[in-house]
Amino acid sequence: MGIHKILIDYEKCTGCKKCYRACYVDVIVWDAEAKRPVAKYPEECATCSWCELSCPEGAIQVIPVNPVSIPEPYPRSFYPKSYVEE
Amino acid sequence: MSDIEKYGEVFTADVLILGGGLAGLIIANRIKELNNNLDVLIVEKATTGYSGSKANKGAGVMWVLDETDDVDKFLEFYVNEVGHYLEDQEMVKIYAETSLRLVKLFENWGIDIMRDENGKLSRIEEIPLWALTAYDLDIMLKLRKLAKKNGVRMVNKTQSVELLTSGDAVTGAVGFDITNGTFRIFKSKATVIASGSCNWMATNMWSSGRGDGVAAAYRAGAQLRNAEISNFYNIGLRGNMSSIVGGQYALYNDLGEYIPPKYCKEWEPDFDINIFLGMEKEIMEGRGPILFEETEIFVKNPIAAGGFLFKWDREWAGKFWNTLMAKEAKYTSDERWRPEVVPLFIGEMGAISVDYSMRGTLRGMWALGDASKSGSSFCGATPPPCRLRGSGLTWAGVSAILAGPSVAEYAAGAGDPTVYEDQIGEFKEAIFSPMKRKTGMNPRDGIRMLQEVITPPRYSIRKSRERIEESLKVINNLYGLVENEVSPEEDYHMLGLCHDLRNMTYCSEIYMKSALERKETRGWHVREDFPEQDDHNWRKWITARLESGKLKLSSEKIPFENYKYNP
Repeated sequence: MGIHKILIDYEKCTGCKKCYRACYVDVIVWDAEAKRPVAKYPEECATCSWCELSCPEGAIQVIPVNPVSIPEPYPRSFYPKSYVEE
Repeated sequence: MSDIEKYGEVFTADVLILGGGLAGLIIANRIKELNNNLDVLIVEKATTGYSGSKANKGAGVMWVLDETDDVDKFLEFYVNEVGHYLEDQEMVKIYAETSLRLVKLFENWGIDIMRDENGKLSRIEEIPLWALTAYDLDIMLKLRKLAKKNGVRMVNKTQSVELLTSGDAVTGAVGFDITNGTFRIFKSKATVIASGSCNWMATNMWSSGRGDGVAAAYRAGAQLRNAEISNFYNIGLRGNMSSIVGGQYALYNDLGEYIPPKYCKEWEPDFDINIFLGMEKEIMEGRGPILFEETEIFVKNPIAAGGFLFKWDREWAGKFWNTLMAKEAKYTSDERWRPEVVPLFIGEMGAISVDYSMRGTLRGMWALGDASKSGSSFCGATPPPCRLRGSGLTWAGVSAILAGPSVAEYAAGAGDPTVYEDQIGEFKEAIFSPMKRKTGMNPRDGIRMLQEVITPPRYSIRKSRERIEESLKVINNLYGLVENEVSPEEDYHMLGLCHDLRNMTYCSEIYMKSALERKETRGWHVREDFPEQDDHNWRKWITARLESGKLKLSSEKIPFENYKYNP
């Protein structure tokens, strides 16, 4: 289990704000002082990669993590013993 | 009516649109076309033109009935396979007949729609009753550009939380900037909710649908309808969030047995609840896990993996999907032959009750797209997308087309909206009250608690009184936690999540209590304790409303006397 990674290459980033605008779940915030994006809330990342697709410099990359943590659809207590023991 | 500026930034508009996704942008442009003098303002939690869960993050497929299709034949299919007599047959007809207008509207606006060499909309031999077409995924940027050109104003990064009311009329909304906490007051003659359904943040693509508009409308006194049918699922690889459209025809149990013939009809346009019941049965009887055999998926399933879309080379969809698939191959793909699949909970609780003009039960309020797809009674006993892939995007547009004239007319004729200082003050106090708790429970943990009692199949596929009550216990507990424990730790993004959790808690209560009320099995509403369809007692809609601080369920007669098909 883990949190998706959003990597920003600040050497390449020109501060155009496109990735900040493209994020639909507020993962990327804008650092007004540095005039650069910051991937502050990766917990909410839906790995749609629109930030990456929007970046003209190829400066941002989303790395999805597997497995994603979702509630277990069939908790082990619900499985027959034979399967659980397996 | 006095100095409300002291509370925060004040905006006024003739038409306020909450949500800058597909439905929001279409209605904004439509209103300006109908009456360019109207001042239209979109308020969006993310950025208008990028937001919304599906328009630019899926296949871009649109379901359409074209000139050659037979509306009656379609309706007959729909009644039997989708609505199970809980749909509003008139609404289904209106939707079907309006869908082609949407294609023409898009083309007028310079948006390319997939057509074959003869100029006809794409048709799949195995699906003879409707056409499936598509647009490219830059549609939102085009609609945003058009809206800017039309003079539509946009306020982004602003989470609208509550609707302002004056008697039985909605007169605006309040919310806050999720980047810096600025409180914003929006006064409007007409208010359009286009902020999606509630999907409990369970599955990636639907992650932004957190029930904001649905819960706000409910708290303002609007009626909700058909909330019990809020349990859409896909099939997906365990641990990965990709939906495998058509995956029901590629499933094996752990004994190597091909299971679809046991649970599926020979041909199905999309998932049916029976395959999910079947997957659970296989596991309960010791033949799990359920495994996916990719080579089978194209055998019977015409829309699998968007097969028909390969005919059209789309620049943005190509970039989008190639990027996602490359990442999947590199980072998350399960390389085993026959990997394990599980039901992926989607949700789609969009239960704001509306009429054929998408007008809600409060004056001056309309609800479009996912926010009202179930509440319009279009879906009947199957949750959106109603076994019609592409109907979500089409519904966003069709509902905007249907609402346009009545919104424009109302806004042009209404006087200045009345807002009350004491209501604004109370809302402001409540919205920021979690900020007073410097530390406390993380709202993400609360959201997880909700997911645990909503998303597993035993709560939303195979329901029973016992399990619904178990779920409601947690939901009740969460109301207390939201009120007293959850803390954003002085961060406005986290304050947004606190409100998301609150809204999802409301949606959960309405969903589960409505499901408890419907004591029968019909379509996707499956009750283990009431396994039969009961046409005598339950051929009616369940409605929900907040009265004196409590959820009140009632029922509404379905006007079968006006319909062609009767059980």
